[in-house]
Amino acid sequence: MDGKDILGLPNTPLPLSQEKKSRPQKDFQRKPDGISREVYALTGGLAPLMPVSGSRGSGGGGAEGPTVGAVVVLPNELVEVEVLTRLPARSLMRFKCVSNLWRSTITQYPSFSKIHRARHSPSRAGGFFIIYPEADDSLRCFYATTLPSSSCPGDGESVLVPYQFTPTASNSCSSSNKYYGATDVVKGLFCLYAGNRSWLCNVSTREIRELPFSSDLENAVAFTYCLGFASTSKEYKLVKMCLLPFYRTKDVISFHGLIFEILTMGKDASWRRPWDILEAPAVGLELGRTSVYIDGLLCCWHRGGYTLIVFNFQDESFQKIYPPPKSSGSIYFGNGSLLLQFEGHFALVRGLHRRLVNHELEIWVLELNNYEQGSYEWINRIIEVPCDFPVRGCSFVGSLPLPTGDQMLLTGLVEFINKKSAVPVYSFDHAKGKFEKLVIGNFLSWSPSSQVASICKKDIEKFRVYYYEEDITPLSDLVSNDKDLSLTSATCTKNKKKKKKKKKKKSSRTTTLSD
Amino acid sequence: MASSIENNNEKLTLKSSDGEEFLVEKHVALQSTLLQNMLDSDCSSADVIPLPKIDARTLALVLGYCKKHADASSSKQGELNSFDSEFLKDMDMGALFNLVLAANFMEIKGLLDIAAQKIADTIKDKPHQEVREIFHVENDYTPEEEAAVREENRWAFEGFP
Repeated sequence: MDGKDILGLPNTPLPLSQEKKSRPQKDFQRKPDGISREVYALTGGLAPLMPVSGSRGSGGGGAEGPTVGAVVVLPNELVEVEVLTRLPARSLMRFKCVSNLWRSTITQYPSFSKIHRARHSPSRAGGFFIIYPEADDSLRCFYATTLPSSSCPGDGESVLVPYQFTPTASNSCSSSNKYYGATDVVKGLFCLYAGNRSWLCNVSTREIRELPFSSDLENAVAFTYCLGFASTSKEYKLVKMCLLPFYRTKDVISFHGLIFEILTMGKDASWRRPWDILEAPAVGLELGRTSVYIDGLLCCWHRGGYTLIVFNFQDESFQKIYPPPKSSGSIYFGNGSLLLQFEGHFALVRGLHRRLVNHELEIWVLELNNYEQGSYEWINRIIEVPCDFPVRGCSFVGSLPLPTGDQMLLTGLVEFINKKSAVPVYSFDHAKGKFEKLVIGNFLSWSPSSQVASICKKDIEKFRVYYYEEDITPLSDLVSNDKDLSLTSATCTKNKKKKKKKKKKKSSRTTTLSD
Repeated sequence: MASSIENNNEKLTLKSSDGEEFLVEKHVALQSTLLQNMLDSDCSSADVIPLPKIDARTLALVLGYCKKHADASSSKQGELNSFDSEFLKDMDMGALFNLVLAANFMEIKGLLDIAAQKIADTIKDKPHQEVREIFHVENDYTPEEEAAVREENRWAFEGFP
């Protein structure tokens, strides 16, 4: 940026002051435009601020000192770089209406979204819930809501307002579209899917955009889509896993084949299959078990239920992990033990269900010390929850990493059934032993009715919670395969070219699990 | 770091746009990268340094900030934070704009950060029409275009006129 622009100065050579201070300029640190800032300071003679005619804004304060009569105006560059980049995404989406110039700044400049992202990194993040109803096949609504930001002191109840993501009209949905859902939230993005169609969504801007169709597998019995970020190549990848009850290879009919398809955003024009059906890892999809995504790695159960599989989004490799040993007799892992994120690591909860049975949660944390060499260990942790959580019929939702420490999220099923209105969600800080109640607002599908309890019980199981960083980057910058939307911005195209070059270099894994 | 300065009690004089002079201790002035560069590049501190873009009221505020931050030991971050928030409290938009301009010009990063953040915090929940007035932005939309942009981002307007 030109220094003169920042200062709002006219683009003409400056007359040097006649005072004695026309001192040796050669010593001054020079700006790229050849005019040192010090010269500005020394020249004088320019109006300090641009007076603007017209009425004063609501700012008031006209009584003080030298600004009387003149309205202070910030040069546009300062407004953009210093002020707008500090606004939350919601405000920015609204301020696109201020002017065409503001809208293009907010939506079209990669450098703007980059500064914005840097200013809103971890410490300002909020949490995120998403839920999808399963009972009614015709209902294709996805609800999401954000937690109050961590900077607000959380005393008392906060009402969370759900937002409805509605994918484009499902006129050409495939026959297998009864399998639908949402992926994990990865760096502020997530995907919705229904059969072979999928949509990329941005939590911060609520932008939604359809991705290329994947294969339409009519006889599939289970589906899942997982979103991940390859941090070395800086690419988002969407992985689709699809279970076929049987399949034919040459003359042999085999049972339970898993079809893997991967779409690298901004790179692949269509889905690709990295493995032959016989080589693909046998991820357990049948029981609808959850998978957990952390920092470029996806952890899920093997179909057999006795080992875990960790998928690396960067080099698209798999590693097998054995669960903790059946040490003290009663501990049993496998076949659907709850997988979750705990303090930045994959973890397993003892027992088979989310529902709390006593006030102690036994958690086994997976430490991937040296992922490349395949070494790992399990660490046992006991978390005490307040005694009335099990009484209230609380279910464990997950653990939300915040800068202040993990918050464990629990929902109160019994309370919900009694009230028939909103599902209470508790956030529990296990380090401090404190909890607060958050309330999820009314979801459409949850309006009280006779079946509400049974529907919701299922839905509550699907509650998931994420931590995300605001990112206002337009999705078109990530999904380059829609030609009509590559926009006018030449910078976007340039960036993509650069990215591709980088990709060639190396694909070794550099991410580590954060603490 | 300021090894070139022999006498720590040295003072320099800053002159505001409206002609008022401020006598400032050197270590306070060093909060400003601009002044630091000037001093490093051998400007004699005996001279009066004019700051033609900054009025006296703003300069007084800026120097108050610099003094607090120069004098406070680094261990008292909490105290500085409360000073910062108290410092900006009740400040109107015009004064904040002046501070941002001055901090940007004098290259005082900490002050620029807090003043710009304060502006952002003040406007974030305001309707866009009001924001347009605050920043004196010309509305170059036709009513139809504006309505279309608004419709695209309907969720963000919930609760706004």
